[in-house]
Amino acid sequence: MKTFRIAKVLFKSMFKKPATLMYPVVPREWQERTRGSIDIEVDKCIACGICAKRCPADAIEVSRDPKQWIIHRMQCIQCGECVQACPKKCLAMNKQYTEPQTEKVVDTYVIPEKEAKGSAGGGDLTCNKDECVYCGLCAKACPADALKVDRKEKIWEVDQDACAKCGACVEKCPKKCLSMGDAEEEKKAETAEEKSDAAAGDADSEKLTCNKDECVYCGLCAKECPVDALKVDRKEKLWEVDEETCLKCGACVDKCPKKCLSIGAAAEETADSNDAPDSENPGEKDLDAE
Amino acid sequence: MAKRTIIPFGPQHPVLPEPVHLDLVIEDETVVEAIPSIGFIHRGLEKLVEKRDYTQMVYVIERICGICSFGHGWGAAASIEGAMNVKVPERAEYLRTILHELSRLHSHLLWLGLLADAFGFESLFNHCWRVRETILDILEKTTGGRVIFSICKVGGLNKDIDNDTLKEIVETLKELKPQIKELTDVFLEDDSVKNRMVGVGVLTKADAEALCAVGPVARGSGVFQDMRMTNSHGVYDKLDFEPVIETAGDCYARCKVRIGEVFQSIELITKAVGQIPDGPVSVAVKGNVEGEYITRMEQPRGEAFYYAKGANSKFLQRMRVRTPTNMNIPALVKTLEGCDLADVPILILTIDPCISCTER
Repeated sequence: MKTFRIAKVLFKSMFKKPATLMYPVVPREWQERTRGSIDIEVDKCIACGICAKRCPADAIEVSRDPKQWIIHRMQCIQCGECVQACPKKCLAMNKQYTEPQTEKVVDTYVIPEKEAKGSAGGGDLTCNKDECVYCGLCAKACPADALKVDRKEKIWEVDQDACAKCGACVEKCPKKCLSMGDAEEEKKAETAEEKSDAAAGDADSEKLTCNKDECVYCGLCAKECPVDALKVDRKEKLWEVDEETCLKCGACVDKCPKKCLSIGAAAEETADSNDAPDSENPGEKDLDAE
Repeated sequence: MAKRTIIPFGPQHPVLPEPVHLDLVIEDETVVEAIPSIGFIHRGLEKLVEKRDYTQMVYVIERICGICSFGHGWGAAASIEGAMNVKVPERAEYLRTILHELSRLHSHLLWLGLLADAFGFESLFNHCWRVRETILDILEKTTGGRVIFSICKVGGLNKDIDNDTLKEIVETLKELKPQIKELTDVFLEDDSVKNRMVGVGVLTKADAEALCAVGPVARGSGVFQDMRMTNSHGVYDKLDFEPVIETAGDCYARCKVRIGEVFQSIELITKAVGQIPDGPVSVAVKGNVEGEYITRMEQPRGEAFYYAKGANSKFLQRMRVRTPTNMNIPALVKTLEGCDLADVPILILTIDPCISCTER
């Protein structure tokens, strides 16, 4: 006779607390990652509009004149795409859901006007072509796909309409040749353009070297390299650079966790010697930057 | 000669969680023929590929279904990754497998509850859903959502789940296992439950194959078919996966397959957590989609099929999703022929219909 199989479960649950909570008397506990609603720190917002472009539900509107950030709370699906896309990290996912409503709620945040700041002051983006090695890392970092870089043709172009002036490229540039600023810098960039051919000659005399004493062959440099000029093999303890393709952009130097990479003059070549002093490397890098 | 009557069944019916309509041709108390019709909740999500780019599309496809949402997000992401030749890191594949099995757990527990509800066993229904709540809590803790996870993206996962949390999940599932066992014993051994299911709605192996049944419906009829065997997705090849097969083909067998899969999912998650490597959970994906790709994936309800086609643009040209319920409706119609009118609700439920999936 197997008719009352559930009797045991039922009997046990008679002496247990109910599985449900007396909501809202007992408040609901949110988890750390609960996706409730989108929050914005308006002070940091630069009205770039990338969040509005990324939103799959068209819930966000950004207007530049007047500077406003608008969210349609009922349309928002809390996917978190805008939080990831925001270059200024001013968006965040709040654990708390918005209050229940009977009407479609639209929240408008007014973005305060900022004073012009030097490097990321909201001016047009310019590139000092004297320094530029056309590595393309800026174009990769651009969340709005406003940059076009061609290494072979030595082209660096920015679509000023698409550019959100977020500054992600300025931060990424290994040569620090990008700037977002005033007209003076633009002029400088124009004059530099003429000299760009001469600059290319200078770069040839430099060489990327690795201090193999320090190197752990992690391969991060090879991953970062925009032109795949590096070859790293952990098993074979191999670190090789293809001199012809290497742009000397310095992206690998910035990435290296052991700080064993450096870009220096060809004369000081220490690629395969083990006695390269550590202290020399940062010095060389500074010289080059100047 | 009995008189023929047509009884309209659905789209609103207490037993149906989602709207499907059946015209049942009845002679006395026996169903002679069933004519299904769908189209009550068509939303046109596939058409949206023209307006949403491929990264946004994953969030849209995920919303096809509220129960197997992770699988749909994964299927869309995997198809786009395939078309773009993106290799997903191993840790991401492991985490996707774990999350997919967690969704299978909660889907099957939900289904067991609905089945109990269909034959009028309300207290069993409540207990199944009480257990399911623990799984939903795990999912909320790891992904941030109870139903829609928004964690899968093209190139991997949005968030990592750290190893401590994974161990906690395994511990929770270990505690849950005896509780689930208590409930599944009721389904498999209680006489009143067996009276409603054993020998009801038999689908023979030949019929299941001819009507292209998929998932637990096919496996309940002895068809050896599970997309997890093909290694087309996830890391099932490293987890010694063996599908659960029953041969009787009746409602009881289909129920047994799903109960077997509940315990199997717990095993798979435990194994995957034991093997999971460290590393990144996503790779950066930039550029346009070019070419086409097909993914076949085992959802809780059966095989789902995803097709993505891009023409060197951020927007896909076509995204096609064929869901398991779509394939199981012919099998349902076949089993309905000759059954008692009182068994119709149970028969509809044993294919685990998901009409939202079917109509997209």
